[in-house]
Amino acid sequence: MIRVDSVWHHYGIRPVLKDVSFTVETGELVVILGPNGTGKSTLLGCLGGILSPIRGSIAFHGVNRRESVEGEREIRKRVAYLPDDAWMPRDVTGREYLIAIGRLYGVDDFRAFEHVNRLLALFHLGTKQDALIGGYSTGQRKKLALAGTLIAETPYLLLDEPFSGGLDPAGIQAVKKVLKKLADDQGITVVITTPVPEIIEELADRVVVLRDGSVVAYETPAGIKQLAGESRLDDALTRLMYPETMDGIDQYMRDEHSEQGESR
Amino acid sequence: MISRDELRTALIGSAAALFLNGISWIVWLTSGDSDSGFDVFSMLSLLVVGAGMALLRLLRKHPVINVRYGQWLQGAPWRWPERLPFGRPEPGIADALVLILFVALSSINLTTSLLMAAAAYSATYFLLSTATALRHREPLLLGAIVVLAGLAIAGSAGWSRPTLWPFLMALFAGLLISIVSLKRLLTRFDTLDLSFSPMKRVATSDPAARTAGSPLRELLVTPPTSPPLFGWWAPSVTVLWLFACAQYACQGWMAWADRTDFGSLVLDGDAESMFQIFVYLAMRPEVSDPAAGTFNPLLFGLTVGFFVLLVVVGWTLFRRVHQHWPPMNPLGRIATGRLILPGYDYVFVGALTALVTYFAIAGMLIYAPLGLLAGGIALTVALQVFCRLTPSQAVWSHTGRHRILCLPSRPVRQTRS
Repeated sequence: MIRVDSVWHHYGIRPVLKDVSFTVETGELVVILGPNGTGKSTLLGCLGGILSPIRGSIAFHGVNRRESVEGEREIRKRVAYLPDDAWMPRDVTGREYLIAIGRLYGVDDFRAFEHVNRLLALFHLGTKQDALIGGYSTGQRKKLALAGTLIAETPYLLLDEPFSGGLDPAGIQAVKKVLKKLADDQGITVVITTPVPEIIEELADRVVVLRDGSVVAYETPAGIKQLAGESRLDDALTRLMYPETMDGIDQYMRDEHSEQGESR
Repeated sequence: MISRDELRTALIGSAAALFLNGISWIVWLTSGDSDSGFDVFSMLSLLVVGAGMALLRLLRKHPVINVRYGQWLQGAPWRWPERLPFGRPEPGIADALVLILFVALSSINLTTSLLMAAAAYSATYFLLSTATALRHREPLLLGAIVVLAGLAIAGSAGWSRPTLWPFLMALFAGLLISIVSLKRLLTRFDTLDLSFSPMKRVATSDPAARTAGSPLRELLVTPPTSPPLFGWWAPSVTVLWLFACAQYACQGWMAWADRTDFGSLVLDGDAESMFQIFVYLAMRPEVSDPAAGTFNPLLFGLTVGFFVLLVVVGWTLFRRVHQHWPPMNPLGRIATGRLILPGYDYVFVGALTALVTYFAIAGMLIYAPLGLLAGGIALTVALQVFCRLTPSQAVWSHTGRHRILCLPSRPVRQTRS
């Protein structure tokens, strides 16, 4: 379980996250959604431990992040975090990279070798497995970064915009299915961010909607529709994320109708 | 057993070495019978390969120097003394293989070649480590640099003639200390602020954070901090030590220059001879320029001391005041007609007093038989005055009576309605 409790974070003197609180149950797949610059990556960075919130706390399985050396180390062993622009060494091969990460997270060598083969096959990277990462395309690097998160075999996965960065349709499908299965069948807790709402209905157990650094909704897809009073999820999300846009559309349509009425 | 990564590095390095060696031969073929062009190019190639291998090692493998690697690793469950996931940052077998191959290929004297390549490697490793140690406040390496530099300077006059050996020995000792220091940084890796991270870039690209000069920057939620590495005594001790070592070397060099005939110096072109000629001409400048006077250590020491003081004082004050807004900055003062702002300007009192002190001490020591050391003593006292009289950043910015107007880019004339 992940507990985010009254988290505030600033860049300089500008608040980016304002009193963010929610709880992710074990085995849930939660999507953090919001417009650009609203604090999604910052929130995930706080969850991933690369940022320390100015105020508030984040706990994994009851252990607070960045509170004690031992506690933090235990969390790091259990959490795989993939930032949007993940760093990768350019001068090692894809296979070496994945095995090094497996070792770093304490995965047994034989298991890591076998898992690497499956991941390379999943992401169609078999032909590039022994090439240096520097020669990979953007999409292939994204696939390798995702594979690097999965090879860690941690009970928590935090992925910043996993469907962006040049991933091809096959890669998107693979990531969607694998994440869903990991959450549903293996009880792995997954938190991802995305600026686009299309993937949510088939993927998310719950959705965190951020606007201007604050949580405006934390609900299941059905709950989101109910909250916004919309029958379609994308309309509901748009209403929550961009209320001005929806109001503008409503106003435009009302004006259109009234003009048509007058002309008749 | 050599790892695949090391083997790959060795192969890439060897290819580069062969390429440079090939160019050396082309230079030789095109320069006719003259070997000098070939020798110079070979020597430069040695330096490039040596420095390149050190850079390659540190920039690829050290998570404190390769900041993005470090930031990635800070989120992973790695902890010292576990093995780093992508190889060792210490000098490795690949580096040795490439350097030996290149030395074997070069046609210069084998000992000189090996020494030059190793020295270039050590110097690069040492310099990059020093910059890293300075940034992360690692005292071992910085203290060692001062001691080693002094010993190298003093030792160069310890034999019957000026020699480069103390410098080379100091360089190799520096390499060993660099390795230890970089390991010490890894032991506190979790607490290091690898501040060129993407998130920090966002923070520093925020207009409010970027333009927040003192004391506005104290309002930042996470103000930039740089705790002092050593006490105020450190600059003075460093200066005295280095000037004393230089004075010792200078005496030895002058004695050697007095009993040496310039014409007898053999110009065989190796680094050692070049160094001796350089020392000879520095001690006896009238040999190359009949109009030049004899070398005066006292005057030289005082001049060097003065320039060091100017740099220290100038840099310190620049760091304090360069981000300030009108009406404190020069433009604002001209616009408002208030050229002196006492509550703000007392930050300059220490600097002015230090300069006056320097000249006063220098005047007193001008007839003392201290040589270079006179500059060191004057600089030591002046630095102490500067440090003691200049308020700390926190004290100055929190208690100064100056006022801040946070304006966009230029002073705006206020009008009464």
